Amino acid sequence: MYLLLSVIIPAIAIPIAYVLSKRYSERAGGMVCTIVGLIDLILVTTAYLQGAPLYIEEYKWLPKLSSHATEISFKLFIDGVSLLAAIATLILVIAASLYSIDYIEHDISAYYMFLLLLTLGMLGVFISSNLIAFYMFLEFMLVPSYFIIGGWGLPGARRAAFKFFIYTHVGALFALVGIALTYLNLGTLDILSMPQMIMTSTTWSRVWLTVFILYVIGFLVKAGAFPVHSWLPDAHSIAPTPMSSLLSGIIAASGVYALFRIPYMSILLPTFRAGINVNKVLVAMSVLGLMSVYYGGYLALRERDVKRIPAYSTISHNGYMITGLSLGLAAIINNGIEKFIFIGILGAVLHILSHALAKGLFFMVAGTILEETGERDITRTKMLLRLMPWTGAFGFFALFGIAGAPPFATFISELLMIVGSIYSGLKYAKLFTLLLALGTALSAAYALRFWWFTFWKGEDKEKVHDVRERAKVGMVILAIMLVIVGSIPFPFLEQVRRSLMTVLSSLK
Amino acid sequence: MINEGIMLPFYTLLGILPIMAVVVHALGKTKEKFLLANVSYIASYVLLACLSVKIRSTGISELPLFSLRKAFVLNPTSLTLATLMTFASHMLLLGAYMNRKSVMDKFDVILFMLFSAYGIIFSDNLIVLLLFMEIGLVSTAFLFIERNRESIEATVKMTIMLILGGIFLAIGFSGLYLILRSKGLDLIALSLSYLSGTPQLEQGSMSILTLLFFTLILVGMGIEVGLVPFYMWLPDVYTGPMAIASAFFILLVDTADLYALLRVLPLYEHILTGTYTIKMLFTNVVVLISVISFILGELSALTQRRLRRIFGYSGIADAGYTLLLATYLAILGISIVKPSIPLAIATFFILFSNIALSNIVSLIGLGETKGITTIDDIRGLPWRFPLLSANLIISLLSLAGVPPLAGFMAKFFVISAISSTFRRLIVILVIIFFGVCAAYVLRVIATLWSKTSRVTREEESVIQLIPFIILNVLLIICGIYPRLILEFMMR
Repeated sequence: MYLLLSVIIPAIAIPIAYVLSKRYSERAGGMVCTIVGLIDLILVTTAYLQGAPLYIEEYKWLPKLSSHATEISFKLFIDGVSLLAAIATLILVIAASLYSIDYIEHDISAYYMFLLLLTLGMLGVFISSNLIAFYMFLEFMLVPSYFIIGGWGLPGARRAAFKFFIYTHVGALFALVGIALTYLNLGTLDILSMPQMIMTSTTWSRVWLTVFILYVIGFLVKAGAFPVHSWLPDAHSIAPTPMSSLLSGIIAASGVYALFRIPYMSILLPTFRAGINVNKVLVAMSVLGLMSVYYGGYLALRERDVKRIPAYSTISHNGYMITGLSLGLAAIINNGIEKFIFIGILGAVLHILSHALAKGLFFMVAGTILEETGERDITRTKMLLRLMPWTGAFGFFALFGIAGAPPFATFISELLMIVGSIYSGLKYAKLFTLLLALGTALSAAYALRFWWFTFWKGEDKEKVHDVRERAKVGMVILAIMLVIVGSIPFPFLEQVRRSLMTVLSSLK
Repeated sequence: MINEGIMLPFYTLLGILPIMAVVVHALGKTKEKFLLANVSYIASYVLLACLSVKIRSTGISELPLFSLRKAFVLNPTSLTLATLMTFASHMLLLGAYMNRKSVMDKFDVILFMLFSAYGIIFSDNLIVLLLFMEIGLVSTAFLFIERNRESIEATVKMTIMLILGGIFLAIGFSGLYLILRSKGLDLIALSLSYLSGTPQLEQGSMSILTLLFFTLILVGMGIEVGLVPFYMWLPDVYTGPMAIASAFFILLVDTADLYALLRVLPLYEHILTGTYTIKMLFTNVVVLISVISFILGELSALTQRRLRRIFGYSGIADAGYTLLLATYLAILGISIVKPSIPLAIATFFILFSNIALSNIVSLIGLGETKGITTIDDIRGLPWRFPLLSANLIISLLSLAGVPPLAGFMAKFFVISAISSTFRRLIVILVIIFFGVCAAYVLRVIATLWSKTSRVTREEESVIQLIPFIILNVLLIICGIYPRLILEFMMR
């Protein structure tokens, strides 16, 4: 019941948050969201500890939809990978809720209602084992996101929200066809049992590429990767700051998580075990990922808008994760599954968490600068480190985190991805490794440029208010987590490793 | 098989509605009319429940009418559809009364519409089907007609088109009957259960004639449900009469007609057995019509400014998708009388699309009393009428196919059905136009959400909105847990 409760609790909290913030205090809604985030964090962690490395809950849901298929159950699960994604989600929810208390100023009760709905959707994505439930949560996230971006965003928000909704909705419809084809060919919608079904299926070899492509289109749009990224910069930069953090750290990352969980681990890996060469597909995906890394990085480097820089950075980092995953999977495949060389995959999965923390903090820093100075152009902000010491300190954590510097979590995850790429066994493995490493340098370049212009350069003349108290607490949580995961990554990596071992052992 | 135990509750169900309608008509006071209409609805629930219990023990039941051996057929799918349709239309009735709509003087006509819907849903004979379709037409015309030009125009247009559709169907059915009679069959040849179970004709000159008559049937059904190129009357029906009257039409007559399309069209697969080329030709034409219908419907909806008209075009698109589902049933070659997974999911689609559509139209109707008719008028509506807007948004999101609402499940079922049957191009087109549907729905929501400077909250009654809230709760529950409905349909 732990996981079901973790999905139900945000729903139950909606009327509570609405009524409390409407009737009693405007802060109450934010506090309810924070408490829900904490309770959910306890619930998912407890669930994982109860059944590690894999905890499952199953409930009857849909009857079978075709004569040769099985009944569809509402199956929730948590393994090491989901745990990491769920932790990232809930920590960002807590930080965003605290930040919102100080910075959201109108229609507060409605805002927290949508934030709780969003929490429900985001968490559901990471703990659903059933493809259709997964899709439902993935799509459900769009509704509160749309209203938060459109209702509380900067000028032009409605247009950005509309674009975000349509892009990701149409993209997701491709994934829906992939789901339908999966069900029709394998007779199951269970992500966990897909690999075994693929290995025994006789028809799969005819459809696997179509199904793979459909999923990839759907999830690349969600991840905002090149060339289907055009919704991302608008939505991320115009959304209210807490929402930008969640959009970048979790919602776009959910596309990467989905890529890892379904097309990669549940389709490519068993398809390879069924005797089909998937290396060309992995090369193509790596190239696509690298294009995102460089395209996003280049745009971030020449951008001057304080909130568009982290937005472009998201395109770049999601590309990084896609490349890391592709090369990591190639390493597993080309070195023999039994050797368990999954260092690259470990890095890519850890990057979901570390990027969420760093980027969440980056957006909060950018949002605070915009909110307190009213200035969008980073070249016109002046020596903010002295005027806004707290924001400057958080900026240091966020920007050096994005740059992949030690001791931040991103350093470990990027290092693992680069090292993992060496083992990929692909034709141009060394080139990929080099490009991946240079991608990190690009991140460092735009992050340091941001730091230089906003916090260092110029003279401090005007008085500017620093980040407010409760928002500060939210940002402290993110900064501390960024250092903790970077300094003590082993417990996190170990959970992912155990989950990967379970999957790979079943495919031996 | 004919089941004696089911005859009494079934004919009571069919008989009670016109009798009550006459009594309601004779009553003077609106309150009395309303009470008696509610009694009729409650009686319908009891009888439908009784039939459901009996069907569970006996299975599919065929029922005679005078000399027709197979006039009606009852199965779990049609009973579930009828029950939910009754419930949803009851909510509309309560909504109409609570909001003091002039349609409340026409409770008798609404009971007749319900009667015709039952007849269409349960009919097992093409003549009976046609008869009830015509009853539906007459009662709808009475419901629509008001003393204003727009409603008169819509009513006249609809009546002419539906009479024309009836004529095509009558010629098609008669032609089919003549061909089958030449094979030594009596009136049973027009029984849906008989035709969908036994292949009748072989290749040869007869197959061309059969194809011709099936084409007439397709034209007739196309007019009745508003397929391209016979759709022109449908958007007017959404805009001309009072909104609540249009909502009743969508929920009762249109749903029943779409269900009839699901059951009648797949017959060609059984009757044209052996004539592969002709069958392929017919299938391709039907698929083409359905594709053009949903493309035209969705694209036209995208360009409309008048709110109800947007959803009128959405109704055309839904007819297109339903035709595609009917073709899917035909290609599978399953009996359209026995409960089956494909029939259940197709029924789920038409039912929940129409519940969402009727709720949207009704809620827009409530807004019309405050001067809201075009998309520009709804700016800032959530600040003026938050509860009305929240309800409207939920129904709109269901229509757009956003989870966890029933519309999402309905669209998922459509995609999973067509993915296994049709070419990739058709599947891609369906996906794209589901996206277009989401786009115009979102356009409405985006406009709702755009706040104007002079918006202040206005008074709105929660009680008046309760029936619509209940329908939205139904959309949420059936979206989260569709097994609730599907299990009943397939039992």
